[in-house]
Amino acid sequence: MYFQDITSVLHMDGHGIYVWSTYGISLLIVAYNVLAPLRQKKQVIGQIKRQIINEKQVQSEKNTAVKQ
Amino acid sequence: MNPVRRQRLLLILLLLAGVGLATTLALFALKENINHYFSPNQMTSGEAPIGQRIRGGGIVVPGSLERNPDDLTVTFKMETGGTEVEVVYTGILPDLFREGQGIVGTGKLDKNRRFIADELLAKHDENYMPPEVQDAIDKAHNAS
Amino acid sequence: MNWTFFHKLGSPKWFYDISGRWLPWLATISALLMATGLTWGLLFAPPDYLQGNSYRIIFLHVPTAFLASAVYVMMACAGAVTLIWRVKLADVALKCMAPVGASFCLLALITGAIWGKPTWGTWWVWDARLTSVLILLFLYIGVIALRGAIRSTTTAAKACAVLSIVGVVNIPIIKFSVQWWNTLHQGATLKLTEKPAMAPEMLWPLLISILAFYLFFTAVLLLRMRTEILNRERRTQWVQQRLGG
Repeated sequence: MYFQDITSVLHMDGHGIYVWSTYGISLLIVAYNVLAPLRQKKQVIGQIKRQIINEKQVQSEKNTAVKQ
Repeated sequence: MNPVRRQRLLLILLLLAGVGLATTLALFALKENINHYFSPNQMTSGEAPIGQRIRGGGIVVPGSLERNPDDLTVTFKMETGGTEVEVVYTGILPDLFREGQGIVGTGKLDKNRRFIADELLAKHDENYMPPEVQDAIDKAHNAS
Repeated sequence: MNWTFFHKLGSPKWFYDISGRWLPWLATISALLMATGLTWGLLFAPPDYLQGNSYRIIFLHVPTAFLASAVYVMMACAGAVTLIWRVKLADVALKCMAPVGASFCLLALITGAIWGKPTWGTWWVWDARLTSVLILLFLYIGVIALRGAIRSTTTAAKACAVLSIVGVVNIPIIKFSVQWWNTLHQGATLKLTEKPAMAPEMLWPLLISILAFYLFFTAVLLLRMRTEILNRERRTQWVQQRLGG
């Protein structure tokens, strides 16, 4: 490693705040790009599954009605 | 290719060409305003206007930096292609202000064609190397 | 010309299945490469002779800047395919690329601004490079906003496709801005036809990071597209069977 200790890693000869803020913000944006699609996927799959269950229920109600 | 699709392709290409042309014309028209940038050559030759707010830059001439002991005013010379212009600036110099490196300033030319800058920005080139490599280059340069 | 391949390519079900196999690999490899490239650049590469340690921002700034432009070009291509061949999957791709490309463009601008302060001495300057990339961000936002504003899927697809194609004119402007005009932003360090203007100890982590971000983009895009496909195709038999069990 180029740096001797953790203090110099954070300080980066005076440029630490610039370097670390860019890496921090990048981490946030990378995280957003992972989490947002995953959340949306869960939402959509949940919606479709509920719809399928609903329709199965309606169908089985119809069947019991016909039987009677 | 299906004739309908070929027609759509042509329409898209036409659209693209049209926008490209419009943009090119717009940029040419705005060129004067966008650039507003003068080299030391243009500053000394009279091309650059006096008293008007302009931008200009060059390479800091080694050894030309002089600091006024009483205030933060500095004077130095910048050059490109051998033509030098004197720059006067009051304020803190940018971190990367170095002799032999580029500088870009905003300000006005005075009657003597000195550039009175109120903003100075350091310009750097696209080269990246570790300090040891730069030292080696400097040594080789000095040796020759 | 084997059109069968292209027809298969246009099938949402085929795309869903094949992307499902690729996604875990892309995600894993991009994560590994990103961790490697960024750690290497941040902690192990030497400082720059002129800029010192602030140059380490390059390992974020260059990949995101490259991607911001590249993704827009891909969007324009997807737009052309949508308009010419009316392939639904192309519109799915366009819709999903926009937010990812926009976030990279924003990140390129932010990392650039933060890098500019200790090096140039300013957060921002209206030079041709910075201004044209800002315009790129506005174009991205425009494509996203247009999609949300138009109710009909087919009309939205056409409108977004047109905006993507029109906006692609900005990409060569971005690329050549540092040559055509006098800009504060310096010229290209990585060039196609010349040797890179960068020492190898710095170049390797940079190349790894660039690759990592491209793979990351691909993984995120596939993830988004798969959800969008399920959404649009929810009434089809294959989706009903997959999710209904």
